Amino acid sequence: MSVSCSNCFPDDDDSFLLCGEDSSGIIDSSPECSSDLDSPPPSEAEAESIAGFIEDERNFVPGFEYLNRFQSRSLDASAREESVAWILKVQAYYAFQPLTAYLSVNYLDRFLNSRQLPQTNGWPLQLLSVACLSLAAKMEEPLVPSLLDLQVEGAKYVFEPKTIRRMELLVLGVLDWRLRSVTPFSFLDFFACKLDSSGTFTGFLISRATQIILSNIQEASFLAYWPSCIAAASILHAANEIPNWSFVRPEHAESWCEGLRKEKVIGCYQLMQELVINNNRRKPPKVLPQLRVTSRPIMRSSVSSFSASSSFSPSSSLSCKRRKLNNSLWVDDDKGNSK
Amino acid sequence: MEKTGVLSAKEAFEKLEKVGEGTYGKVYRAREKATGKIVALKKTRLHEDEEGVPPTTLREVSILRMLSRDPHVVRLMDVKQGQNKEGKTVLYLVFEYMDTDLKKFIRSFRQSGETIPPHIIKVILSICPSIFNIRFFFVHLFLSIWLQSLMYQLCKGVAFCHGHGILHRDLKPHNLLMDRKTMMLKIADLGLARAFTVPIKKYTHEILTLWYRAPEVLLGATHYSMAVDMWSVGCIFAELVTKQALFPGDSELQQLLHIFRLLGTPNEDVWPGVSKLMNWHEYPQWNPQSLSTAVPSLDELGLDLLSQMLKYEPSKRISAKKAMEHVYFDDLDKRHL
Repeated sequence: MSVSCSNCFPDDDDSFLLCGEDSSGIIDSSPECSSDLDSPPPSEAEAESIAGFIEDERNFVPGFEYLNRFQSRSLDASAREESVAWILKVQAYYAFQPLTAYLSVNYLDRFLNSRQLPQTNGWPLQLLSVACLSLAAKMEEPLVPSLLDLQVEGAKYVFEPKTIRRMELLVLGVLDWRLRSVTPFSFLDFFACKLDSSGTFTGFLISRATQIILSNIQEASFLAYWPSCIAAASILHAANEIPNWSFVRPEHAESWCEGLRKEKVIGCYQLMQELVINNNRRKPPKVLPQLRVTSRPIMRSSVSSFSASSSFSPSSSLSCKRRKLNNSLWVDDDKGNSK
Repeated sequence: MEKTGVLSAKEAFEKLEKVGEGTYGKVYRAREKATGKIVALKKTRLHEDEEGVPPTTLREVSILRMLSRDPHVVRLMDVKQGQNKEGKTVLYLVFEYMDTDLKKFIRSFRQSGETIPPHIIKVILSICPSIFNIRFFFVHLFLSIWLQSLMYQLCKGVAFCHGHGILHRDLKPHNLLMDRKTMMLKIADLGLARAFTVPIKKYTHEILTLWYRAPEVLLGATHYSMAVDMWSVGCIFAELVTKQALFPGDSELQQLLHIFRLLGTPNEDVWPGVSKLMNWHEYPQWNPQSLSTAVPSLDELGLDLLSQMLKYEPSKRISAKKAMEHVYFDDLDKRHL
């Protein structure tokens, strides 16, 4: 099923963007996950739910060929990284739940798996990121900022609400409205209780595993692993930070529920360890002075279907209303119907 | 979903009549032009504000995309995009058409003084042929099988939702659609539904129509799970029997007092942790009454099932899957349901 979106960006629509480019450094955020320390052990009904998640999770991950496209450089891993970094910054700015950030990235990956963007970085990817974050926030957050207010934390382009709305509909069509994704967070509580049935450390395990998951979603390599596997590996990783818990091995995870494969969990766990080592070596990013660039991508109907033939023409002379918003510039469309 | 939205809603459907109005727009009975099939069109306005697709629509559609394959969850057939007279974008959710809901059905029963329409007798005989053999044509017996059938279907639908990590959070007779001819029951209106991560997570407690709201929600618990839906199922069960709401409170306090009068004022013995809940106060002390005082015509097995659905302590409340296995449903031929 899909919404017909062939007219998402009609030919006669002259909406355009005036953008402020911002090359600020990536902020590493590690939000906490609230959890009761005295959560009861998982019941039979909850074990059944976990079995349901395991059964469904394959429907909510991009295929393996998507990861191959990053490895073969037909997709730009650094552009994806930048988009994910922006999503994480907005998540931290508004104190969104970790799940909201994860879902945003999940929608972005599933969209890119199905559709080719007219260019692999720049404004189309930013528009996609905003739409995915907006959809995820509406799915999970009790209070959702307006579409304009969502575009903070160094958003390079600021889009009109109606442009984002069209993009939302396009994303919904491509994802077949399947926004209720199974994510690693679907499994964390259950796995933490399996590992620590006394409940002494479950709060720490869940909170730390959440940080690990969020700090790794920028890394495209994790696309090789399913949510249950990422959850198991992150819980194991968290457990190994507890003194005297070095007895916990990745092999143990196989017994937690049916469907977890030992070799996959071990692979994911090792990747997490490598990234921790690499992150410790990495130097802080250089912060460049903010650049303000004005450009005018004209959204034609070909853009809506993201065909390769899409054309973009920057405009030099712009007579339009401007509104300054969070160090970026926002403009109303040519028709002057400011909101 | 079955189709892709190629034609616009206006091209694809002929509106027949308005059958209701929801938070985000009207609901129409309509005919699909290509097939002549009758459907329900739920119109969602996107132009009320500039904030894109409303959260309730996103949640409802995405959850239905996951659950619609179950026969006891209303089937979302398609989503169509259209434009209204002012040229604003409108979404139409295309559902299978169901001709009534449990609220209307209970009301019609109440008005008809418990006479059973002939088509229901026919359906009941197909579900439970043993009645025909024994020649028990007593009204209460028919009602009992009819009740078992509806309750089993409800438990089955709720079990399916819970098995896929979805809490409905607003189960009530109005949200349970029915087909009068086949007596098929389907769960609808998942706009408030949420995915949960197990065991439990924090959720807002401003949910659920008051009469069907679980005591832990009324008392301000922010950590809750599948048990809130099972409390609602219990309230619906009792209402199906008596044709009256079990706990018809008109405020949160009155709602709690209704519950306490029947089930007794809870304490730490029957419900450990109750006094630590946010809205706990010193309430009048009532002793628990027998459920048969509130639901006198329900048999012993039914009362046992109901009591397990209305347990104070959420973790002790029966699950939907366990409820389906209860001996109360043993007489049913479940292949038809």
